[in-house]
Formats: sequence, structure tokens, C-alpha cells
Amino acid sequence: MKIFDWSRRKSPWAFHLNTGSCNNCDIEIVDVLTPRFDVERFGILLQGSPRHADVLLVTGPVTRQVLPRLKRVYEQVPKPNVVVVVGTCATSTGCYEGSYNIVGPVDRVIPVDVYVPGCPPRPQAIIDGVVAALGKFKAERSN
Amino acid sequence: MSIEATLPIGPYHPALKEPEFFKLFLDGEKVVGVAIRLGYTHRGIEYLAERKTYNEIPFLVERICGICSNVHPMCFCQAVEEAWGLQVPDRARYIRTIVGELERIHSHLLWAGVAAHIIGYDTLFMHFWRHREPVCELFEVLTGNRQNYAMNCIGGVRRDIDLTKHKALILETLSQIRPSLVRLENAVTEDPVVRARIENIGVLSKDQARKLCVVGPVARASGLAIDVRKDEPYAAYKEVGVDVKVLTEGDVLSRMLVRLLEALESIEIVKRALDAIPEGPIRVEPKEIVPGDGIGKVEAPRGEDIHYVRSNGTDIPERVKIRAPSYMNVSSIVPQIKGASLADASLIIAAVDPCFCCTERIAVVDVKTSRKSSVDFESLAQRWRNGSKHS
Amino acid sequence: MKVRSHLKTVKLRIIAEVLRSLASRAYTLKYPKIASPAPEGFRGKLEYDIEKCTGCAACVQNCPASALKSISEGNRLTIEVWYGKCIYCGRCEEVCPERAITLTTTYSLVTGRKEDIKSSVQLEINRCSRCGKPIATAKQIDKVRLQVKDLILPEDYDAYVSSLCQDCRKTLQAELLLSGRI
Repeated sequence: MKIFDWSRRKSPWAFHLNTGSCNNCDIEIVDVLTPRFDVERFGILLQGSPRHADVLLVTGPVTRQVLPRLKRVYEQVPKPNVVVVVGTCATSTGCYEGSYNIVGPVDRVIPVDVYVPGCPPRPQAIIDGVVAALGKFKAERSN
Repeated sequence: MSIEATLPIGPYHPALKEPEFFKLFLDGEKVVGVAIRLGYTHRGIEYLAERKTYNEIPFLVERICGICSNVHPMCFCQAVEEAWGLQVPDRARYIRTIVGELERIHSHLLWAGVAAHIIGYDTLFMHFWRHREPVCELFEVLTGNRQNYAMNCIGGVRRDIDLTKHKALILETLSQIRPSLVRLENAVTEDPVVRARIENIGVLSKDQARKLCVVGPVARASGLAIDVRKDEPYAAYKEVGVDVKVLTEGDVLSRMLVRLLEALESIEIVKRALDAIPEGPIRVEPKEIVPGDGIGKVEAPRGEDIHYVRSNGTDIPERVKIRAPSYMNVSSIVPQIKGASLADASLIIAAVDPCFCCTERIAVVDVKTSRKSSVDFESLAQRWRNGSKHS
Repeated sequence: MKVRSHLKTVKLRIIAEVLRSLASRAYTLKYPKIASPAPEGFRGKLEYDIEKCTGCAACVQNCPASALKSISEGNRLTIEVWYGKCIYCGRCEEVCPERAITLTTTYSLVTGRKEDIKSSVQLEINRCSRCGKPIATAKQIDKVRLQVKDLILPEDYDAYVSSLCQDCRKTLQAELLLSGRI
């Protein structure tokens, strides 16, 4: 229904998932909520449960121990949702390529909608990424 | 002691930014034990470092942790410089000091905000992060990135601080945040709500701290006056001097106070370093790869960080060993959390300022005999006495 | 331990701080409504200056994340960078002998397909006239011709150096020696 799509675009709730990153991207994601960038103006809130989320923000190259948890969390996020992958490690494993404990970039495990490369990406780039992801909600509806 | 329930905290929890697993054993509302399981952020950094050249490794170890992102490359470069006998120019040592202290300010404010968020005080969280923001923007101008500075290289630093342009900017930023920091420190100590939530929680006595070998602000809040900047000065700390802050209560409030006082002290250190910085080159090119070992020790915002490098004359190191400070501090969670109430559990975990991505190491287990390889203190000391060359 | 007793100023400290921020200018950056460019010296997206690049591939060898690749096919050498793997460290900029790489201030590389954020430069390779093996890029050969112009005549350089690979050069030299021409 149109009102649901509108509210999803105008106030998307996000869940942040760290699959083994160095924390830089996670700090920048939390920074996006603080007074300088303040995405709460767009209605974005960071939630504590994947069941409450529309946008899944994933960071980190996926380590072996996290792999089953990543799949489980993705299944718990209700559809429709968008997955935004933040950082070079999550896009392509970055400088950790070749390690015995890294399973691979996030899109080897779950489908990804938007990539935000950077090490770490500037908070402004993360805002751009979330805005691009919201555009996908609109595109899905019009298809 | 009857264990009535177990409660998992993690791996994904609203209060935690990293995946880690704490299984709390509860008797009613009281915690009687905890089992810690890590390993979610193990990326095999030591393995990768033994397959990359010396010039590439500072960029790899920078990404061990985002908040300690100046400490690890500086420590690695110091270890290699010791192994090869390189003398770093004076200007580079002062620049390393300035970047290290600015990082300490931003790290302590970040932790204070996260701790405030955990006790439910979001106003304080937002204020701490708001005052941390000018430091991040300063880093962006000085080093090219808000978090990964890429300033250290073997032999010195990669970018110079242009005193004509940047000195005024650094001093202006520091004078902007200093009064706010003082006000927020007072807000923490005088607010009865904050005091009620963090005073006398998670007490670690001096003896316990010494036995568990904790490092950093956790040790200094429990009465142990240990600080690598004072005990074994590196970079420009001998010239610039450090005033080590020590408190004796050992609870979460003392740790918060120690960190805020250290942030204020860091502002003074940066000002002194900027006044005394000499002219000269910022890096020296290594002429020869000398076989041998080197140890680098740096006081990270979380405590003492140690890197060991063994060089065999080729352009790839033979062994790189990293001992991050949170490795010692995480085990101190166990005595603190026993007897605490469930409501305080996540605060006690956060109060040691754990950085789990720094802490990930592996233990080797023999599958046939299920015996773990471990070395006791006496044999380790004997090996050191017999073994490697340590200049 | 600094103990402050509970005074009349109980709780006013944080309220004073809040009132102070309300009274001052809003600290929020109204991005994306207003542009927020990165400062000068920011380590963002790297760009090649094709005029200066000679295809020596020093950048490829020194990248800590292996984000740069050099691919040679036929008469073309392609040096490709994948921005999804780059860690924006600036090592390539440091090691390039021609200063052909600059890290610009572009920071927003958001994309829906990670294969789209690649960029490449292409250079022509000179091949050995005898055996067909690749020697070097045309630009590198031109550069060296200028550097040795006082030591060897340009026609000799073209005949014996720039059109032959190392092995064929040695073979030719041996042939000339044996035939008595030198």
C-alpha cells in the first residue's frame, strides 16, 4: 500500500550489523546519528532488533564465526528491506584478502543493494548510501 | 550458589558495537559467573603480516582497530626501527606525539559517550560526541582522513604539519573543546543521577588489578601508577613530559574520571609539543634490512600495546606478534561482574573500554590430546634470557 | 579522589550545557541539502594522469590491498583500479616515479553494482621485432631514449635497443661479434 511505502521511505529504521570489522565504519555509522550529521532529521533511528528494521547496515569482512549469524539476522529482517554495505572490507575484503578466517565479502552471503566504499567512508557518503537505498524502495514499488 | 538462569549478552546486542559473547550465570538478579567467548572479529592479522612487505604492513595493522588506529602502526614502526637500528628524526617524533595525543582525546570522548549511552543518559552521549567532532575534522585536515591517519611509516612520518597553516587550527580547536570538556567533567562528578549509576560499580582492588596485570586507565583508576609514556618514554615524551593521573577507588566512576582528566592532560601535551617542535626532516630512508628482533611499546588509549617483529634480512618479516591492551583488561571483567546486579552487567563490560577487534588471538589446541599449548612465566623468562638479541 | 559534595548546583550543570547549545548556532551540517566538500589533502578517489603515466606498474606492486592490477593483452597494457578494494592509503601516490597519480577529494562512490566503480588507463606495449615478446610500454621506451641521448645515437637506439627484447639483443650482439662486424 502506498502509505506503507511512503512511511518506509520517510522514516526508515536501521539495524547495524558488524561482521568482524575494525570498527571504523561502525564509529562513522554511529557518528551519523550524533549532532553534526543528525540523520534523525530524516527519521532514521538505530534499532536494537532486526525485526524492527527496514535498512540493514552491514560492515566488516565476514569471518567464519559470524557467517551463520549473518544469515540468521538477514532472515529475521522483515521484507521488503534494503541492505547497505558500508566500507571497503564489506565490499571486497579490502586488505584482508587471503586470510584463513575470512569467508568473503558480504554479497557472497546475502544479497546487497547498495555499496558505500571507503576506509572508512565519510559520514556524508554513508548518508548518500542510505538515500540511494531508499530510492530502491520506490523503484521496487513502481515495477 | 544456585545457578537459576543464564543470560547471553551478544553477539549482537543493542549496547555493543562489536560482536562478542558473554554468558552470564544468574542467581535471581545477581550475577554469579560469566563465560566469555570471543573470536568473531579474528581476521588473521599476524598471518597476513607475515606475507606482506614491511612497507605494506603499517597499513594493515592500522586496520586492526579503528579507535587505536595510530597506535598500532606507530608501535610496529618502532619495533622495526629498533630491529634495524634506525634513528627517527626529531621532528617526526614530535609529530607522532601530537597525533597520538589527539587520538587519545578523541578515543576517551568516544568511550565516555558510549558509557553515558549505556547508563541511559543520551544527552551526555550526544554532548560528548558533539565535542569530539572538531577533533575528527582536525584530523581530516592534517592527515587526510577522519579515522585512518596513515601518518606513520618506517623511519618517520609521511606528512608534515605545516606550522604556518595548521598550528593555529590545532590551537583553535583545542581551545574550543577544552572549556566544554571541563564542564562535562563537572557534569559527571556533580550529577547525582550519574553518580548513583556508576559509583561503586565494578570495583577492582589494587591487588586484583596487579594480579590480573591490567593496563591503562583501568589500572590507573585502581591505584597502579603505570604508564608507558612515563616508564619507558618513546617518541617525544621525554622532552614534553606527562602527568600521569591515578585514582584509588577502582570503580567505574574513577575510570571515567581518569579518562576525562587524561583527555585534558593530552590537550596540554599537544600545546607543549607544538611549541617545542624542531625543524628538520620528517623521515629517514632505511638503508639496510638487518636481521634481528625489535619490540615496540606504546601507551594506547586503552593501555600498553606491544608489538614484536623478527626480521631475517628479507623484505618480509619472519614473525609479527601483537599484544593489544584489551587482551589484559578483558579478563578483569570476571571478578568485577561477580556479585553485581544484572542491570549493571553491560556497564561493567563497557567500563574496561574493551576493543575486541584488537584482542582477537588464537590458541592452538592439539586435537588428538586436546591439550592447549601454553607457557608458564618462568619458562618464558628463561627463553628470553637465552634466546633473542634484544638491544 | 575528587569528591564533590551534593551542592545546590545539583543537576544544573548538564541543564546549563543544554541551554548553552540551544542558544548557540545549530551544529548540524545540513547535508545533503548543502554541499560538504572534503578539505584539501583528503585521501579520496585516485585518478591517473594518462599524459604522465608510463606503465611501470610500481603502483600495482606497492598496493597493500591489491586494488590495482596490470593486465597485458596483445599490444595493450591496462592498469586498472577497483575503488571497492582500495583502502585510500596514498601509497600509490607516494611511489609513482612520474607523479601520475593523485588522490582527489571525491569521497562519495556509492553504487548499486560494485563492478561499476573501476577505472583504468591503457598504454601501448612495444613488442620485440624478432621474437614478439613484450619489451616495455612505448612511453617508457621514449622516456629512456631522451635520457640516453648523449650516450647513443637515436637511430642506433631504435635499431638495437627499443625494438628488441633483452634475450634477442644478446643474441644479435653475439651474431655481430661472430660475423666480425663489430
